[in-house]
Amino acid sequence: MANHNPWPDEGNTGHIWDEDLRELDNPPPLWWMLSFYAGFIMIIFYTLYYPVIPLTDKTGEFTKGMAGWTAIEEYNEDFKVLKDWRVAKFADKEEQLAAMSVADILKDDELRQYAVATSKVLFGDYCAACHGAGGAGNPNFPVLADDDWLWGGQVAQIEASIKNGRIGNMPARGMMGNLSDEEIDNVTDYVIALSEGKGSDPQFAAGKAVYAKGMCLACHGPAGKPLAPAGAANLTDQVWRFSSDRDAIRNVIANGVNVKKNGEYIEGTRQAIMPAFKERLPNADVNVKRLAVYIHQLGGGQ
Amino acid sequence: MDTTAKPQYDNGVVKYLTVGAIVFLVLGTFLGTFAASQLAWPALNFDIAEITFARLRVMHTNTVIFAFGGMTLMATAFYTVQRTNGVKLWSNSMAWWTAILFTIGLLATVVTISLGMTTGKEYHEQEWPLAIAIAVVWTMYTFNFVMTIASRNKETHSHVYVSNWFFLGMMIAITYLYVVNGLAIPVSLFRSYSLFAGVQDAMIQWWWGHNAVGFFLTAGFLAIMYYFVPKQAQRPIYSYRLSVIHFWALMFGYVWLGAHHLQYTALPDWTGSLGAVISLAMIIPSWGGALNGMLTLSGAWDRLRTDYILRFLIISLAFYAMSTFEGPVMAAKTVNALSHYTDWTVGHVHSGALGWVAMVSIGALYHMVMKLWNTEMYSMQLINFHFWLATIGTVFYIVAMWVSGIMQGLMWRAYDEYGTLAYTFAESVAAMHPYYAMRAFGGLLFFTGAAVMLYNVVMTIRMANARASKPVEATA
Repeated sequence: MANHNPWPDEGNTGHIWDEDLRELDNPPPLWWMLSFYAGFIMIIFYTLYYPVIPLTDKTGEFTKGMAGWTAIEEYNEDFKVLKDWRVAKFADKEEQLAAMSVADILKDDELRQYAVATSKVLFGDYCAACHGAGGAGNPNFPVLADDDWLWGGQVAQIEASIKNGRIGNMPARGMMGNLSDEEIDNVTDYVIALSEGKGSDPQFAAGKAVYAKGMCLACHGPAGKPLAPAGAANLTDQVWRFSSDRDAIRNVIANGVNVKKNGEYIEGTRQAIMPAFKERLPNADVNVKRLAVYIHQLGGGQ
Repeated sequence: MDTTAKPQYDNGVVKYLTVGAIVFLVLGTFLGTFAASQLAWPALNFDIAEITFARLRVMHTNTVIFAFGGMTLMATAFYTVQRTNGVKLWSNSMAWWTAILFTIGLLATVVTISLGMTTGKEYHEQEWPLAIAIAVVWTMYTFNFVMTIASRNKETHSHVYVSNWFFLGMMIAITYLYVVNGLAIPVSLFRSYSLFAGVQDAMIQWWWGHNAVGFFLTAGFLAIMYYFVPKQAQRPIYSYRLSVIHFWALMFGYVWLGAHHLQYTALPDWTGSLGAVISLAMIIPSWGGALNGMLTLSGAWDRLRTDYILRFLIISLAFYAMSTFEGPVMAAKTVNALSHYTDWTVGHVHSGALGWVAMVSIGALYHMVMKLWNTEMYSMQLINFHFWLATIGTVFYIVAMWVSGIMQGLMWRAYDEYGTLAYTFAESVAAMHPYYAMRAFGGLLFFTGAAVMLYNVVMTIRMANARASKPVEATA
């Protein structure tokens, strides 16, 4: 700041820094000043109207403003509008869903359509992460839109799968766990041949013998087709539970599915668990049924 | 002027910090563009843990806010405190230690985050040994700044210039906010647990988090505005009184705002309301700074046609005014119910961070490069090119996030005729894709501008050094 002011007429404060930095003595613009005060007046009114003061009353509740507003009440009121709407329009249908079996729901055309229409987001938020949008499946997760079912495609079976979950089990190296590496190679080739309809070709005879020795037929059926849906895959079609890649198929035969030793999964075993959704879904009693009906109509229901 | 010779200032450390800030601007905007591209095209995560979005985003925020922003604040504070007080730095060597250690601290922060070490506290991710080191470096910075002001000649510099107030307010607020939020119990060298729990922890976190914006990115950069706008425009500050009023209003007001980040949570209603109402009351004080800068240009508006550096400074004030209006609106509960957790928040942050903080910094950095190396820029046309890349990039970014954020908010709350949600979460994610691509493009433009700046500055310094090495023109 110099002693003399090189800009005496511009109305500066007389302080000068760094050769030419200076400030004018202008008042703030009037509109700014008025808005500034208005801001403080607004604080007063807002403080009276909304809960701003951190004092508690006799019941231990924080002071409410004159509006009596609380966040939780706002939420409850918003949600009540929705609930009232649902009750007014669909209470009877919801009651029917709760009371009827899934098989009966399926027979009631109107109710079935209602269940499907109200399932879209439920399926999207709870099921689609693994099973894909529209049940189209994802690598290593079953397709729900085809007619290939591990645990049965009747609506009651689907309901049971959702409700209680499913854990498949396949032993490593055959039922007795005694197949050699060479035998596993042979049976791998045989299983792939089965899926292509060439299981009877003489070149796969060795594999066919291993299939019998390993007692694969106990679950997968004598011809590669399970006799009843109990979690075993149908080996005669082109639908693979995990992968159609030969190495992946061989790995499943060698290390099994969900095989544990001393409580730990063994190395290389396929982990595949469908969780029990009765513990995960909101309002599970009704929503499990709703989803069973929805999944049943995705394309593969029996 | 009764002085016969220009005072000599400590310029070396300022030069280092100036170039460092520009390097970190390029690096930080690169990381940001990369992270934005990962959101649009997830394959870019490459299944490499060290560069997945979760870590890359944090590396980006730390690089741009604290490495770029911090080095800009240090460069400009050391530059302006000497000139506005007419003295050299109180300790040049301490300033060098501050600059070097801060660089190392921030690089270590980015590396440890990439390795998965984090406190999980937003904008305070570095684990306790690094946090302590950074707090010490920050204190050195503050102490040196205060002592430099104290060592001025009180006869010739009886008044302390306004930019120094803002720097001081920022330094003090950041010191206590950073330290309190960082209080933690270490359990190992790179693991600690916050001293606070539950909603108190969240409140302390946002008390700091909002003021990383309010003080670090606002008060500090208003200090930059108050020096570099009048210098570049060669005009006096419009109103001394306005600067006093809005300074104190911001200092007292800003620390109350953090609660608006926690509307409709477990936070007590009164805390959220308090955060909302003080936020609304901060619109006018914030505009005070923007107004004072803009009105400083009265009678010099024509200079915007020819002075590209001034363009950066003035458009930054326009973005500042816009985002300080937008923020309080989003703090109000009714709007917050829609905007919270959506991309609108991300867009708002970037209209402040790109439009205000980066633009005002870029203007100041260009100004300092020319003064420190006593030269013209290598290319003024490239500055103009940089200006348009940065402006258009910012507009792309924030428009994309407005559309995407409001769409997200509306999709999440939409109900169908059965009273069930109309959209799955995944559908709302899929709907964002075009806007995420648009945002990444905006970021790419901004990054390109930063790279152009680095090239221009490097060429300028080489040009100046080449000229200085010629003995004939070697006049310091």
